[in-house]
Amino acid sequence: MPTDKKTILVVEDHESVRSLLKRLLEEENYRVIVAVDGEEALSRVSEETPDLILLDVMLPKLDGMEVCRRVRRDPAAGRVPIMMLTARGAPADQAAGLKLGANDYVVKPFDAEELKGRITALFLQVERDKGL
Amino acid sequence: MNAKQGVKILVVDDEQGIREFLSFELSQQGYEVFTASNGAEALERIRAEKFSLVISDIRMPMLGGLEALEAIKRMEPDVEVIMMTGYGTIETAVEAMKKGAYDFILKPFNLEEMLTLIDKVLEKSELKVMVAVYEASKSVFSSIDLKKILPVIVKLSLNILKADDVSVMLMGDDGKLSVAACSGAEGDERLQAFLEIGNRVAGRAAEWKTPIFVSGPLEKDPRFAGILSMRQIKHSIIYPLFIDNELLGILNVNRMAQDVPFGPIDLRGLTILGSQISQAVYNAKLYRQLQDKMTALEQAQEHLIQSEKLAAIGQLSAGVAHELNNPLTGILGFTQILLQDEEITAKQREDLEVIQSQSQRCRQIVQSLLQFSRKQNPHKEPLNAVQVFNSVLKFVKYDVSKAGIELISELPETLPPIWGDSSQLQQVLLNILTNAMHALEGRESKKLILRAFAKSGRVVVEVEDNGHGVPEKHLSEIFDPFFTTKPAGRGTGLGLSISFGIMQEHQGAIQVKSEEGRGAKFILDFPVYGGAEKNSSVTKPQTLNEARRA
Repeated sequence: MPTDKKTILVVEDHESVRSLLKRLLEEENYRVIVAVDGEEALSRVSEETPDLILLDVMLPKLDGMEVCRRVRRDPAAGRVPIMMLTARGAPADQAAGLKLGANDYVVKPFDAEELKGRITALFLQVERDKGL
Repeated sequence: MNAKQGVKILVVDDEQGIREFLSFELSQQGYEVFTASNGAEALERIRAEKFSLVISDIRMPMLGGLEALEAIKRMEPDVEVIMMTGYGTIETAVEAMKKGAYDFILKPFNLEEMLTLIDKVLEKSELKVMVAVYEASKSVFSSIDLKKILPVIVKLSLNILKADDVSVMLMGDDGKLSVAACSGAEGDERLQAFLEIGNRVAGRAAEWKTPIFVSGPLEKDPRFAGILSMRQIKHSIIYPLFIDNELLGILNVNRMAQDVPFGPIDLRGLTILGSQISQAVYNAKLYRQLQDKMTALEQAQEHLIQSEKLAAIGQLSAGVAHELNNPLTGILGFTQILLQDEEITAKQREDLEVIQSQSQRCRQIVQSLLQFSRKQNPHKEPLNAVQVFNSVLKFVKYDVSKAGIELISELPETLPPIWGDSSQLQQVLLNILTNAMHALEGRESKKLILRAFAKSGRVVVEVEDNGHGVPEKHLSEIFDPFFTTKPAGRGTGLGLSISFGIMQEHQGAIQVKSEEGRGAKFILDFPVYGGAEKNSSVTKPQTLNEARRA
């Protein structure tokens, strides 16, 4: 379904968080697709390359770290910006995620405004990089 | 030394012939012989001298033998008395034995008979001393508590050595003598003089290894020249207490009132007593070392248990915290969405804001839990504790002045550096300062004193307030995770246990001193950076009980 809306893949196993994100992002005029675990996330990505992936770390089946690693190796979706979302706020966890190629990291519970701001910033960054 | 030398015998007889005969013959044997011609004179003699034996006639003018015997036994119960008697007075002699005479000898006697009897008496009296010493040392040995032993040692030495002044000095771990016990009043001057004597002897005791006898005032003895005048001491024994070439202390025995030098019997008693005392002091020392080791072991065990407890709580907290973060995300997020809806009423907005603030509070608790559970890798660097302090003060200064708290800073310009993670240490200080501010709420005068100083290889940081203080029953709990007395919603009960953990990671310690109603003082101390390698091997981690006991 071609559209000028940016598509964000939300990978989150907790229903309340998933629907919150969907709601927040749709209000910001993004198109949101969802996955409830790591495997589903990968099959979504293979069906359709999103403009951004919002990826929870602790997921059933495949965890977020592994999903991140595999997406980065995917020739088609390898350059999709990934924002990790986690309940673990330890600097070591953040570093691990960023090392695997995540572009940003948000700690739960997050502030809605902050999250939206960071997503906008990430898209701007991507645009700028493309221009180079 | 001739065993008879120094043994004093008093011969009491109204017959000059007997007095001269015995005086001459006994002196030939080596005894020191004194004479008296009647009972009254004998008593005078005994008052002035210390005799081992009195040989007395029964029938005498002035004061008869029996009466004299009674008086002598009253004055000096330990003095042995031999009665000399003629055939006509045998019954009286038997009576005398009932009254405490050792034996009697019939006049006329031959010299051999008399000498044998004297030997027997002296042997017995010496045996009595030794038995007393052994009996006494049994009681010394019955305890390994130095506090109980020392008074016994003093008392025994007074009794056995017929002294009227005794002090015991013990060698401390620092190699210095100190007066551990003494008889009579503890005049400072006197103790000082004893110490001076002890120190001089200690210096040479290793070579001498024998008791030192001093007769006459100490100041006349060149070995003790310059020592505070101790005129009242007439005779003195300074006895080093040794075990295996190790000097444990000094026993100082003095005669002040009686002008009787210490003799060979005293020496024999002292030798037995001294070796027993040495052994007892040594045992007490070993026992104390054993106790110290036991205490260290107990503390290590307690520390282990505490660490395990913290680790278990940490794991649990981490799990719970992660689980809570997801629902919290939902609650906070949807609340935020609702709050942005312009159609809600003011009342609804108010309610939603309560939900939001309470959820934020949950979020803080969860974050403390995670922080508590996290084994963070601290980034340590050489730090100036004052700078850490100042950076925290920046955060709280506004709140402090708003609360009307007088901030008294006793922070020095310079301090030796410490090795630490500045953000962790800021957190510790922030916890303590926050607690202090809470404790000052509702107080009339509010003071917060900050101190930092260096002390024997450590940097000490203190935060003192004159707030409500910590009740004694809580002192043992304030470092426990989840312990809090703050009203619900104000504290997680994790601040001090996190601080405790951080201080442990810094080879430091956190202690609290407090009196309920009068304030509290938190003391942090750290090893100085640079001296750390040397210190770390001997610095054992602080146990929770040590923090509470402070």
